[in-house]
Amino acid sequence: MVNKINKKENAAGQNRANRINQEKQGKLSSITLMIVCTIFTSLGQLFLKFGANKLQFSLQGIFLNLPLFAGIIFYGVGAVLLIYSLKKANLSFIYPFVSLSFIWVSLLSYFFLNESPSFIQLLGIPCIIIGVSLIGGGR
Amino acid sequence: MLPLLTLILLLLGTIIGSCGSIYLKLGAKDFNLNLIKQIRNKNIILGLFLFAFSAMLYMFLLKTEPLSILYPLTSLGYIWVALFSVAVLKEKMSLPKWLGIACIIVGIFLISYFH
Repeated sequence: MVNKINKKENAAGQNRANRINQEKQGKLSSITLMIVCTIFTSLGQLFLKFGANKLQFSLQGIFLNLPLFAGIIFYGVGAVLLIYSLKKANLSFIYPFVSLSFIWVSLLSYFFLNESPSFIQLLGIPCIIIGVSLIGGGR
Repeated sequence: MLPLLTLILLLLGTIIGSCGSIYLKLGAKDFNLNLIKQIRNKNIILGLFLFAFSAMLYMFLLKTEPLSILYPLTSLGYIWVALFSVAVLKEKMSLPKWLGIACIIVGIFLISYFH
């Protein structure tokens, strides 16, 4: 009798442990998805900038602008990844990771566009990251 | 400091994009994957149109301004969305969110004023 109850409790405990484990894994995989998503959207920004540099406001100028389309495709992939990562985790939990894209974009524009903002301007970026995390992650 | 025209277009673009978000939210309750029927969902269509318009303004600004400056400045949109959510959607704001708005304002000031 006691043995049976013990077994039941054990099973329940195992179940709970499994569920917690699954939730942890779900959170981990949605964080990974989110990080990949921010990399895609940041690459999208880089290509949009390439596209904007040679943008001409004519039908031909827009439809033959390959970097522009590459940027839009990167952005689209990023959006799909965002939706998938939201499937498993709460918006408020995942949102602070969105602001990683501010870091990626700064790095990408330093390495590929030779842009170098001043030190004071760079200080603005962590402010914005904290702000976006507070708005998205707050209750 | 960033040119005045850039700042005005940036304000306009982020406000238009945020209005797009609000209309998408209004349309989301009638949204389903029957995409053909969604053509009648005026809120969704208007939201997408506003999004596209703000994207065009963004591309126009991106032509002249550096990406590393312009991209962080688009976080202005978060402020408008928060304010419109309170005013239009009657959503509640909390102290951390107000603090977040303050941080974003400081960041945007640092980036645009010291350009």
